Amino acid sequence: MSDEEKIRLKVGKENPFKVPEGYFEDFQQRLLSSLPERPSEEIKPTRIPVWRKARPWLSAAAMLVGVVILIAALRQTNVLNNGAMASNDETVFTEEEMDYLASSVFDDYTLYSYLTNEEWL
Amino acid sequence: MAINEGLLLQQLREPKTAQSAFAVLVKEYTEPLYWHLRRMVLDHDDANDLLQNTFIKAWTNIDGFQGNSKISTWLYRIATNEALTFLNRQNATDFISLDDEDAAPVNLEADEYFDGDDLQRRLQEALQTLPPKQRMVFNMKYFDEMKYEDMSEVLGTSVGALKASYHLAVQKIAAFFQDDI
Repeated sequence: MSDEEKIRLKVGKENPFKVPEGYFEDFQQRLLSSLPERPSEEIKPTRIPVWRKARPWLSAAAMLVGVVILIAALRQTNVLNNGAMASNDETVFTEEEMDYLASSVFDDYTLYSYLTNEEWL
Repeated sequence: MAINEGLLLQQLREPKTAQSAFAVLVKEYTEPLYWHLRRMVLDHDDANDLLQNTFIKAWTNIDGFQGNSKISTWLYRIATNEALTFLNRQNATDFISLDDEDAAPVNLEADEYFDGDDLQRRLQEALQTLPPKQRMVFNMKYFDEMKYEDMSEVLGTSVGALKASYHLAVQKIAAFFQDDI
């Protein structure tokens, strides 16, 4: 006879535990009446982060920086040396370079305002 | 009552039918889950709390249930985790000296919701000496007569390991009753 059979013969398999009267019916009612709200999919208003609003300006500024770096790098290799207003040791831009830089970021009116300092007149 | 699990799962996910479908689930599985928990924690109030936690977790996480297993398996898995977590927490706070032969880990004699005879009480005391997971294997096989394949899905353990665990548990219990058997 196996150990399991011996245990079964000696002790049996009856459930020795009991529950309070009406427990299972009460439990079901109590549980169903106290179920929490299931997390639902809320439609949240779309908030545009500040960085996204500033992105066009940031892109423009990044482009300007990129152009400056590119021109400086090219000048190092003497590619744009023709018409330089100063010696190669200085980082000075030609008139063409200045025009290009200015027009790439600012429109004519903004540039005019800046150059004539209308705000401070 | 044979439940159409596929239909029930569909209804559980639909907001309009979720509550009534959940009521079907609760009605079907309250008792088996309760006894699964009670045999582990022994105390009625503890089993009641864990049962409530089990169903609330099932209710709030039904959308996360992939349907890869039976709903009953999923529920048993939640209940099992609740029981094991509870027992681990309890063991961490209640230290009982293993050298103290008079120390009874469970006082079932004083429990108004324990109706067993002396041998049944001694069996429960013997089961308390087993590691929680091994005790669970014994309960599921001996009392619930669950198939090893179903136990494997609930406990996440291989059939072979479960068979070995049950065999060892039976040996230990038999040794406990050595003088009687």
